[in-house]
Amino acid sequence: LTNTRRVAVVGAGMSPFGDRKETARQLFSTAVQECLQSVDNGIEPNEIQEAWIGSVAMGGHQLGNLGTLAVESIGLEHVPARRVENACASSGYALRDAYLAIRSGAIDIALVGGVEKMNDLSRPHQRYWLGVSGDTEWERTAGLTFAGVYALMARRHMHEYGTTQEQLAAVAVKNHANGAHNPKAQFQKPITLEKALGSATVCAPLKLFDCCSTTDGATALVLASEEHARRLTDAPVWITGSGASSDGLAAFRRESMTRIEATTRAAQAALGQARRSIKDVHVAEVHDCFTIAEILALEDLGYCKKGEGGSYAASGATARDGKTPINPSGGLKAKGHPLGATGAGQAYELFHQLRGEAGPRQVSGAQRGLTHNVGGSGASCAVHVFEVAP
Amino acid sequence: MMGTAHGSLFLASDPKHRIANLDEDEATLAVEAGQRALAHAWIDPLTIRSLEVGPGTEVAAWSSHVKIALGLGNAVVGPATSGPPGPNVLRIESNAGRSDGRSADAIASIGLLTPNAKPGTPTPSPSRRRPVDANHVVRLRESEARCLAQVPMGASISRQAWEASLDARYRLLVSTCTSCKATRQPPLDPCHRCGQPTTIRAHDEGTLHTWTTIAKGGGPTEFDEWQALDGDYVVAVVDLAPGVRVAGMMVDPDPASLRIGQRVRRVFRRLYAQEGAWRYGTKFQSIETTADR
Repeated sequence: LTNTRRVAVVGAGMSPFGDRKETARQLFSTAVQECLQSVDNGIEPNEIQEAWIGSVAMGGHQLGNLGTLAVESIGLEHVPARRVENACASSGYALRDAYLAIRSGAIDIALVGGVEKMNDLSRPHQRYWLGVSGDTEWERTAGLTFAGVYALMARRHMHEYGTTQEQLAAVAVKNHANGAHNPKAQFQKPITLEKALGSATVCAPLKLFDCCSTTDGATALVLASEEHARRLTDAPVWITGSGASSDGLAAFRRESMTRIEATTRAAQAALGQARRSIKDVHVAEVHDCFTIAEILALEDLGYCKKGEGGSYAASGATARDGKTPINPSGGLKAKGHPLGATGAGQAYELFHQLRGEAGPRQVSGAQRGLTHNVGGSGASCAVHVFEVAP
Repeated sequence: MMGTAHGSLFLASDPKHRIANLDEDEATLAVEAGQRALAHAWIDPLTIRSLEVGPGTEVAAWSSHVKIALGLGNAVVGPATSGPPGPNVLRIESNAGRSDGRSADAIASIGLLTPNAKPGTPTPSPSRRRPVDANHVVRLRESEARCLAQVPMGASISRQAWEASLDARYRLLVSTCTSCKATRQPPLDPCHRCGQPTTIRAHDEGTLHTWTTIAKGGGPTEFDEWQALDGDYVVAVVDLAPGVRVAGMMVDPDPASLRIGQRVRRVFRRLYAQEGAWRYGTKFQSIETTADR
């Protein structure tokens, strides 16, 4: 894309995450109201020209026209909206689509959001719905859901590189420590390594504390072209890179089960566009649906060499005050993972981190950040680079 | 418990029509109470050489030569009501769950079963088998009734899609492009990458690439009844050939004995029930290498 415009995030909002009593409409409305109020110089709701809403459709209860439900819940029925679905990467892709639309010049101001209700589904329905984003014909019929698929990857990673159960658990301990400082996180208590290691086995070698929870929640962002961003805020968070990639639907059919190629391709595209390397990134929100997923992300994003993700995670480098802070929000693991709302939720965290508004979980001096949002076990991935002016 | 028996297989619709002899020489058919609840009874021409059944045992039969035989026949063991006398008659009946009227074809096709076990193919050790237990059979039947009555939610695999994939599932068919050498399971012809013709080959064995044990609540809902009866199950990813992997359950009872890199062999098992009918496919079983034996 040449001769195209810069795009910034000018507002961000997020409902509390967790096992919530609110309806999807209420959660989304909460996120959007906070988002609009966060726009420094004020914004009229009807300035929003178009909306992209990430969701895996809440157990199928609103499979069709969910975008309309979302904008209707905030009184913007006239705004063209659509649901964007790429499993857990849904709102990462919603962000990308809105970014591309503004960058191309088609529109100036867009709403990006995500919403998911999972805890009002029966347990069998939850597991059923969590399974429909895998390869239903060949992976699911082998008895696999995502916990099982990531467990297969974890065991293979242990086999090839000597990654340990303790290194997996270190990811959980670090992210729960961060979540303790996030008032909107689903889990706000630190855990010990012993607690993580002593938890029940879900899919060996993954234990309960290696897995994220089921979460209700909603997120919202307002994106604007440069001209409008400068009018709406004095502190725009620029999107300087956007990359995405698909890959094989089932993990077992990909070339490697210890590597998520879509992560590497998306990151190279996003960082390349931003003319940055991973070393230039001060803070990242990565897709830690399972602890092994964060270890894979560390390797595939280039924080460390392939195979060293486990020791890197256990070294303390990824702590909030470490060399390369990862998931200061608590990540999917502690903040919660409302599937389609997660990608925009990662951008919400960086919006506040890069503006120095993250309070007790602020990463000091963070001016450049990266979000990494994975769909399924790596079938899709969206990576974005955000920057504020120094 | 009845001992090893030899007998004959007759068509239910025509008891005088003998379609197979249940002995080692003519057809390597057998019935086993397997390790896993939903695979408690099966015939696998590759691995089983003797018949060991008790009253009430259900039988599913399959042949690599036909696509639809499996799951379409239920057999009951007992005195024949007509036809040949004797206690060891295996009567094959059509599956009541079938609605497409093709069950008669399927039953007849069982007669196509021929021994195709390779010489020297190891058989599962007797210690891995569980004898038929009457109480267990009762629980299985109750469980099966619930499985068969389950209403599939949403994105289930249609019968049409399932039946279109049977050969690929049962025989682990892999396509290899004659031009770009791209491989694929399930197979595609022409090649999914370059459009050139492919060659298609079946696989019987592979190498364990990775595996996991799925605890209760960790699997798809289709396997809930299974887990309620038998608890955890193991899912493996198996390297069939360079660049080709498949996923399937392991039938070995002891996950602790599994090791990455070991050889495994495909076996034929029930997977799950949908729309009132069982669906069958490939699972894997550890085999000892020739060196081990």
